[in-house]
Amino acid sequence: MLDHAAHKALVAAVGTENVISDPVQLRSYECDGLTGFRQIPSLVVLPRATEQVAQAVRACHRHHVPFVARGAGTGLSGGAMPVADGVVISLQRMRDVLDIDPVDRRAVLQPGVTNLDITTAAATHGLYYAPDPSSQQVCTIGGNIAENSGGAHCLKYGFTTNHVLSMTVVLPDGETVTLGSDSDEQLGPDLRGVVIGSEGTLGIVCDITVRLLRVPETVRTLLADFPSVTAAGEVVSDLIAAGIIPAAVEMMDNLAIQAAEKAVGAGYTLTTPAALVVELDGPEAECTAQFDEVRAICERHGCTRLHIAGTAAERAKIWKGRKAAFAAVGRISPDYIVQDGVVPRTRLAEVLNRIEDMGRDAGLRVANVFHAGDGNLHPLVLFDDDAGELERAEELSTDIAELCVELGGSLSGEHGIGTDKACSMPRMFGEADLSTMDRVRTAFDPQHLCNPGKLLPTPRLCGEQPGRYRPHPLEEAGVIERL
Amino acid sequence: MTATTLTPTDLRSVCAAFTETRGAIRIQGAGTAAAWAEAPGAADVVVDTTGLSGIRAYNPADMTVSVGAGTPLAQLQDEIARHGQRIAFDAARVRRGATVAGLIATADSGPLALGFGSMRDLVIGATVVLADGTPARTGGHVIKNVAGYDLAKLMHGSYGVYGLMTEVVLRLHPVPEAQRTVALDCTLHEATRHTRSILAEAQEPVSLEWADGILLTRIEGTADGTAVRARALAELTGGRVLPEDDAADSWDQHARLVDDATVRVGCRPSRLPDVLGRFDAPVAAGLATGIATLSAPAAYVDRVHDAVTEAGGTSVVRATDPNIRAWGQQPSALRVLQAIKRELDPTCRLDPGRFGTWLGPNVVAGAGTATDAGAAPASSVAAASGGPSPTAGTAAATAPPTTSPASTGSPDAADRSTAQQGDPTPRAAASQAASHVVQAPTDSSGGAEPADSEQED
Ligand SMILES: Cc1cc2nc3c(=O)[nH]c(=O)nc-3n(C[C@H](O)[C@H](O)[C@H](O)COP(=O)(O)OP(=O)(O)OC[C@H]3O[C@@H](n4cnc5c(N)ncnc54)[C@H](O)[C@@H]3O)c2cc1C
Repeated sequence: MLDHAAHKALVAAVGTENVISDPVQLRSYECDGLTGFRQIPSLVVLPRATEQVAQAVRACHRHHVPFVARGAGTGLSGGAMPVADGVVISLQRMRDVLDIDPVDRRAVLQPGVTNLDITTAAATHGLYYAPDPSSQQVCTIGGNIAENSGGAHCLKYGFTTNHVLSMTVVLPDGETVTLGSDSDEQLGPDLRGVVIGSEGTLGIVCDITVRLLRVPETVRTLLADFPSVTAAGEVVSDLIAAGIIPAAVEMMDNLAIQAAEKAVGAGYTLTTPAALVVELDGPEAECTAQFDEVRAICERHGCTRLHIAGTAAERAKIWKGRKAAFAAVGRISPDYIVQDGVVPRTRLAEVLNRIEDMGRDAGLRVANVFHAGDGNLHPLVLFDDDAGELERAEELSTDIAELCVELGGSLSGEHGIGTDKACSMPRMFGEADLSTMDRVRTAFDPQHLCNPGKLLPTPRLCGEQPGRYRPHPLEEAGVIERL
Repeated sequence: MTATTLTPTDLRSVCAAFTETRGAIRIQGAGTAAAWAEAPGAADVVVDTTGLSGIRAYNPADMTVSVGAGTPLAQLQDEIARHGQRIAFDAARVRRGATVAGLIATADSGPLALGFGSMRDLVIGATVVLADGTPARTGGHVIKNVAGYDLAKLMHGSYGVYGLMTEVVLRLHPVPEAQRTVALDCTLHEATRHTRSILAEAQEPVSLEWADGILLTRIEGTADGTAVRARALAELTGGRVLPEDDAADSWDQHARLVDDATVRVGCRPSRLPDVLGRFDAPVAAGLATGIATLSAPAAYVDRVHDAVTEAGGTSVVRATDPNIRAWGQQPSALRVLQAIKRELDPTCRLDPGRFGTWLGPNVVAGAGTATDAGAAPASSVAAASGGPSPTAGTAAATAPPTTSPASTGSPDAADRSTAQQGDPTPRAAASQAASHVVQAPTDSSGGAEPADSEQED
């Protein structure tokens, strides 16, 4: 519970009409998209302006109340999960597109603007905002910045961090600063880049200036079936070897295809072991020639069916199948866990084989949907909670993420560490790495009030020995020793 | 006044170079930007990074390369070009031997920035040694990775005041089959108009620079595709498609112009021509990126700073002259930069002269600068060390790095005494534990449910 003075200060910061304290209403803020982690907050405030965000944070700082920023709550790592006796600062009432500048090709946004609304607002000028997470209709630009979100098209266009020019940030003590500038030229170290991807632990991002791109002249999309996941993987390697950087290359295995097809009927082949979606975009004069090359490479690897989208509607349908895959898995399994890990692309086949083995050992099915171009996997661990499979499923899911690290990859490509993976961080980073990150965090937030307990392992969350012992990578390389 | 120069060749000897020396340290790469920004201060120890050189790991099919931070970028480009790959980055001083880490530390970029961004957009991982000898890694070896803070960004533009990069992992791009440049002789004013019409088309230039009377537009792609696109651009602007050799010459001239610059500026692209138009100085201007360099005489640099600041932009000098201001604006989050300095290098050993007025010993180590009651003063951070400290032990067990005395101009060592302190040891886990006062969720073992399908696209 908040003490009376803190409560009063927060109400004064945003006004009674922007505060939620009713226990029933507070419940809808207890978790994000990762619903296994829950905590009811003491209070939710919904500021309408940056100054109100600053006032609210100042109140928290003065009264030593931990706070968690929240966008749309679509995060999949428990990043927006409230902390006990803490406050949620929701940015949902700051949803204005403040400016679209077609000449300098940028948009100025409040943090609660949804990803898709940016593109919608820019469309009349023939411009768009490139990063496109599958949750783009709902998720906010503030949440995207916190997670450094990617999307199907980030292989060619990069992630959120590559598209944000500047932002105002309310620091954990309530001071408002601007990070980044009107161009990519920097005044000293790039703090904008440090805050992007920091999962709401370094401050609350308010007004945001993003770059807009011109809509490409042409988009060509194909859907190709393959006799095996390995064959589809070889296509991806050959595309890269040919110097082609597709706008997107997405792979789905049979389980994922079945699920998606049941849900949206996008025209995928129910029996194919694997399918690839390949999209090229850019100037017409480039796309046509490269698209022929893509087709030839597909055919060389035993493509069993090749469907080229002839119209925008057909293209949208192919994407609908791909983007529906997560939730669609609910059609073939009562429960599932979405995992997110990355391996070097050349180890895709190996990781898939290992995942299959691990699934068999655990007696659970795993469906695979992934951004094949950059090695970002989204294994979906299927289970039945009523049959008591939850614990086994969680264990398998965690093992898969840690396997990615073992293969030279990462614990997360886009969903973040949050609460979910904080205890796995020692698998990927050594003590010195983590303590350095913690020093930077302390510089921003000496009182540890800003989304505490997330991202970095804490003894309280992970036990005194966070994770299992793993030698520091520099030790493995024989460069340093643990004495 | 002499300084000791150390040339470590691996991570271990870098750590030792920091832990087994005393006094102010200056990190030095190839020296191609030694005079940029604030003049480096006098140093007791110069750590030369050029011994940290060569490819560490390279699997062309993954399109990433891990490389010693002191490797000249041009040398790296040659090696990976054999596999049809490149680092899509072309700052002018790459030609003069600039090292990978030096290019990152100075936040430099070249004409390709329009298409590919700067080093900040290409670095996917780094190993950094902090002033106390802590070797810290950030990022990794894969292009897509959001685990942990992206501290490579913190190094971008840090001019060596936060730590020494020993190894850097970069993402690669394919060498395009063809590049073509369209040239148009025109004034800055005309170039501005042409830039808008070029950007309105769908030709996706990777570089668009006005260099003192000539507008250069570069596109990349297939041989056939670029031929068609270049013709379209030439028609649109009334320019000419340059033969390959002429194109190379034009870009070389552009690079020489940048080499001569005394100040680099950045602002909203639409405001750039006005700012540049006020000065009668040779200019290379990225009219689409908003970044330009000017070769204004030293006496004019202050006025450039003022003009850019007025336009809301940023500026930094590229030639040492103690009489001119190094930076135009001051960063809005200066307090955070200082707090980070206090955490990573509390005694200001790393180049106390750089960012002197912002991050120098007087500001950072000075009493009473902690703005927050909860902030751990630098000294208690060091004293609180209770956990294992891999680096301190390691350094003691190693042979000292190669040393050679070198002479450095060191007119003023007066304020350096504040930097002379005992080795701070890495921060203890204990202090971290104490500050996490918030409880973890109590019901995390509850049933997991699938994410709401309403969030679906
Ligand atoms: C069906 C589905 C598909 C998805 N697909 C993708 C995908 O393709 N790619 C991808 O990258 N992600 C994807 N995600 C994950 C999620 O949508 C992204 O992480 C998104 O960026 C979260 O935005 P949000 O507004 O919902 O943030 P929230 O979930 O509300 O918050 C996420 C984190 O951001 C912090 N935060 C929010 N707003 C701010 C702010 N203004 N300032 C500081 N911190 C803030 C929170 O504290 C929290 O730590 C998907 C999720 C779902 C449910």
